[in-house]
Amino acid sequence: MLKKGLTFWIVLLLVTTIPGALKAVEYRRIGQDYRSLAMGNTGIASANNSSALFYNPAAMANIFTWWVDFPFIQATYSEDAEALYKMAQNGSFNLDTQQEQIDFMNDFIGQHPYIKIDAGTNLFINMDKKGLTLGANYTYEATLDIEVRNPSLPEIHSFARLDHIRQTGVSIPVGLGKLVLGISYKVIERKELDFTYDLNNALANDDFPTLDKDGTKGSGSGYDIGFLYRTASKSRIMIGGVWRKKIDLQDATAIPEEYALGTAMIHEFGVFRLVAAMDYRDITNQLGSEGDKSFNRRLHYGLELGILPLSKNTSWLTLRTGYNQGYQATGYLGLTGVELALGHSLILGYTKYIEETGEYAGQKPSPRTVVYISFGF
Amino acid sequence: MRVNPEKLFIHRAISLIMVFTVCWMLQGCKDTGATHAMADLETCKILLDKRNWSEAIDACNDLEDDEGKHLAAIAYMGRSGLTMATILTALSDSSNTPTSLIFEQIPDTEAKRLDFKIALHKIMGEIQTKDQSMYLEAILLSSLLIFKELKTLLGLTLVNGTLGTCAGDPANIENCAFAPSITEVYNATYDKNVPGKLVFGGLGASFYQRIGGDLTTDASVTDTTRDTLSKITLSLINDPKYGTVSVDVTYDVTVDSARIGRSSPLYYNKLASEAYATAGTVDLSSLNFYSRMDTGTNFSIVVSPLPSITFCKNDGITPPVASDLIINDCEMLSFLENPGF
Repeated sequence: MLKKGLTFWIVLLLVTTIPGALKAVEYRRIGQDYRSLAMGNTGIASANNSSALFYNPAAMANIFTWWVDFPFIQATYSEDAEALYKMAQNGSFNLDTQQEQIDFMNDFIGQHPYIKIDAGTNLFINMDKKGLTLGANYTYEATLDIEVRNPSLPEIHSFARLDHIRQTGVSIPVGLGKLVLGISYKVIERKELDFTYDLNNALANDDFPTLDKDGTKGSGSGYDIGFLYRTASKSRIMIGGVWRKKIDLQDATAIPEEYALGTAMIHEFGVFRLVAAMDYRDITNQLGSEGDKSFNRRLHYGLELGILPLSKNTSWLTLRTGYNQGYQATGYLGLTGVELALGHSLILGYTKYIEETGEYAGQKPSPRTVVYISFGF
Repeated sequence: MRVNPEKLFIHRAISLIMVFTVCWMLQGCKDTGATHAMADLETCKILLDKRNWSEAIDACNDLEDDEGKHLAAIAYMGRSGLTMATILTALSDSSNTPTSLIFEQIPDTEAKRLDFKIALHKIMGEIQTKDQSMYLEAILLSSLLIFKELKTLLGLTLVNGTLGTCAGDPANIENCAFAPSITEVYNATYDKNVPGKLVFGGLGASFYQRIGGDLTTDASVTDTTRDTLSKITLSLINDPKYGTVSVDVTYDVTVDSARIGRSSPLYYNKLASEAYATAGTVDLSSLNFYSRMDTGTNFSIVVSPLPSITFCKNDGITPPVASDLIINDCEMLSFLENPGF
């Protein structure tokens, strides 16, 4: 019984990938990584790992070594997805009959299961300590975002997306390296599906749309241009900025243009390294719904404490905290992220963060967990 | 260059204090409320999902597009305990009949009736582009409002899934409180009480007002016609009760009639039923009350010892016409005799 129920939902969620026109949506950006998310999703100036290209190509200047992830896997899931999985595991519900399925929909009104998987390889080559770095990402990103709404006539709104991202870039120091310019070029292939399945469809035994049959597809390319200015002070203050060109993806949803600014500073005290960062992203309000000009929703800031630094990029143990869109995830001692690293050979990351999925900061939080592992050198 | 440790410490301390001060000042920076239309819509949806009905009504009533009006209607329905999911699920079971399912949801308070009225009007009167789900909701809401009045009028009961009326089985209007009756009068010629009047008081203005009156104004639409001039000569020979008499029996008949308002439950029932019938997934023809009420069927009855009598005749009260958006007691009594439950 349990297996059947679980199978039903796995099939429902992962294969047929039901969905719906999510009217209010989160800002869906590609390549958001566990480190940045733990620091309130900052990275325009502070990115210093293998996801730097997704934040600011000039920030690759913060990478001072070779860096290869082969492979990396990052899983993100919401608390509601976790609860759903646990219920499936302990047999709290059955979905064998139509009535049970409808009861389930009723019980799950207002729930918001979200799952995202990122996987791929990364390669970064630092060629000059002033900040000349070449980098590339080869990433698959699969997102499934479901909401059950409307207690009168339950509807499953769902969104599924599969992105294949290939990007490469370079950071180039100007002069002695106080100013770094960066550029990246990316190619994206996207499949996505967005629809609503309601009780009428269930009663009429309508088939669920599938990503293969009913999804929209598209591909396109674009580039990001960024800068990073680094002061020579003891605080190592950095100011970064990036412009992302809009990428049209034919029938699939385009990636909007984005301007972002960020600042960061680094202090080192013996075996400790403290990084503070703050970003203001989507300065021109291209993301979100029409009329969404929320300042707080676009504000990110966070702190990172590295313990026993292994290099300028990694520490044995790293603790993080941050505010993302007005939320701080509730973690132990206010921590929202922890990382264990054996150089680049093995990196384990764990992050709690909260994403705004409504229309303004504070309207509809979605608490999420990110688990990361990578092997490399 | 040699670094002064004291200066370095002060510099770092100030920097850190600044960082933590900024973080503290910004902590929990959230917006205080909706600033754009989509945010208002989302607020409405969130409250609906939480089943905070009254707050949802307040939030959704401010929305001006079709989706917002529909959500407001859902909030009104929810506040009064009506969920389409329950009814729709039950309707999909072929062993259930729509009428018996609807009966169980009839609003039992005036507050619920008002909520259903508002919800119905939002769906049918305010939403510009309607889908099948909305028509379905409108059919169910209008049926509930009509059923409420029928329940009052007919004393509807549900026994073992079967609806009963005051007419009984087999149906006979004479079993109902509103049935026409004969009033006796003393006749000096025969020195006894004899049939003097045929009395029928009509089904009542409030009945018509509630099913055919406009939802927005709740104005009465009832016309009343009295026919006290007509009479019939009754000749009885050896009647067991009256013996042999020949008397004139006067009609004291009130036939109520109503023009169906364009925003009334019955009119919305008509519109929604017609729209849903073309593409609906569930057979709801039994809830098409308009088509079964405005039939033009005249009503005849035998009230012993009188011969068969028809209330609506051209010499007194205009007989009903089918589908003319006017209903009167003659049509309604015919319907009540055979409501098709």
